[in-house]
Amino acid sequence: MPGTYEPIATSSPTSGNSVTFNSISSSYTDLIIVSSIRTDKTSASSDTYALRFNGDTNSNYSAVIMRGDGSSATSFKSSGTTMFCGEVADNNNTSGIFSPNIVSITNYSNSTTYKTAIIQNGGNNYLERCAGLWRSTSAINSITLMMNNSASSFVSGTTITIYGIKAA
Amino acid sequence: MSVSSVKTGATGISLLTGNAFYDPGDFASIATGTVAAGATASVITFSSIPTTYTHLQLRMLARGTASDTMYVRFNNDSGATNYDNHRLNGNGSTVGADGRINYSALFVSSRGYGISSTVNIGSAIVMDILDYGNTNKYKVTKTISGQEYNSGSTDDIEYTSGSWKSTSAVNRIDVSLATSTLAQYTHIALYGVKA
Repeated sequence: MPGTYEPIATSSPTSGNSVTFNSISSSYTDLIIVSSIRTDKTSASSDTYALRFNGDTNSNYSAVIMRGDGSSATSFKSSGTTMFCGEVADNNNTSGIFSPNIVSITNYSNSTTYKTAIIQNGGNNYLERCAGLWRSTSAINSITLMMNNSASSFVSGTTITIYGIKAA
Repeated sequence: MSVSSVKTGATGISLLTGNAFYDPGDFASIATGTVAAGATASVITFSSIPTTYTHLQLRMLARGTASDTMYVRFNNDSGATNYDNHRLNGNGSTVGADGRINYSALFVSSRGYGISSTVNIGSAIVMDILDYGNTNKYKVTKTISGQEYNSGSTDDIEYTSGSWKSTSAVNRIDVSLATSTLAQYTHIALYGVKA
């Protein structure tokens, strides 16, 4: 008999800058995406981990972010064609360091409300907490995790796992 | 072997001989409270919470009939000085930190507009209640909550620690709003986590 909190799918990309999980079952209540990420980026330009739902490439995503950098705290907004999930480790950071990232999506399969996600991230010398919004009432059946900079690629050791949580 | 409910007609498995061993797992669903379309609720109560777990987790998508602050109370305790919390929040332009000592409830998403009343948008909240069955120490909570409206003025992400100054085991949780009522599509699920 299936459990309450169970893995749905896992990916361990060693290249490329996006991973898509399709045909996500609607039989859960919440989804949790747990990632351990590092990219091969070496430039100093900003690069963020992000997601899309159901292949929606329109400007339907926004987020509010709280960030600490070890000496000060800031808050800012993000909006566009992907949902901001945080700055992650890259080849500018010490070898072997990967970013922990957890995305929690509550009630992902309802068809009456927009989808809100809570994101917890640490990487590139930042600690970040975010609330993200996808302005669609569609049930989520596909999730793409990606780097916003198309020149960045995931490196070996990166893992991304989706879990489903059921409610009574 | 399957069994049928005389009351509802629903079928499920029996735990009698002939079926595989059933292990509910280390993260188990205890109960869920929802507010149906077109309805409201002044409070969602989880009662008779078993002590068979080590920690509890509330996972919520909450809406209010007005933009509001959420109250969480344990064991129906509304004593005026029994709850404390400390909070970090970011609203898209500034970061704030504050605390509430000696209050009558745990405050969640407490900027006053934290619980969404916007059509189609809910506030996402995950609260961990640690060692809830222990009778030797006060109970502590950790909550992350957020509401994003794409508005620029009322968006918020919050991280909150809380305490209920009682050594009683938590056997009941009440979730309500400060001044309004829980609105349609609110969904609150309670889970137990085993050690």
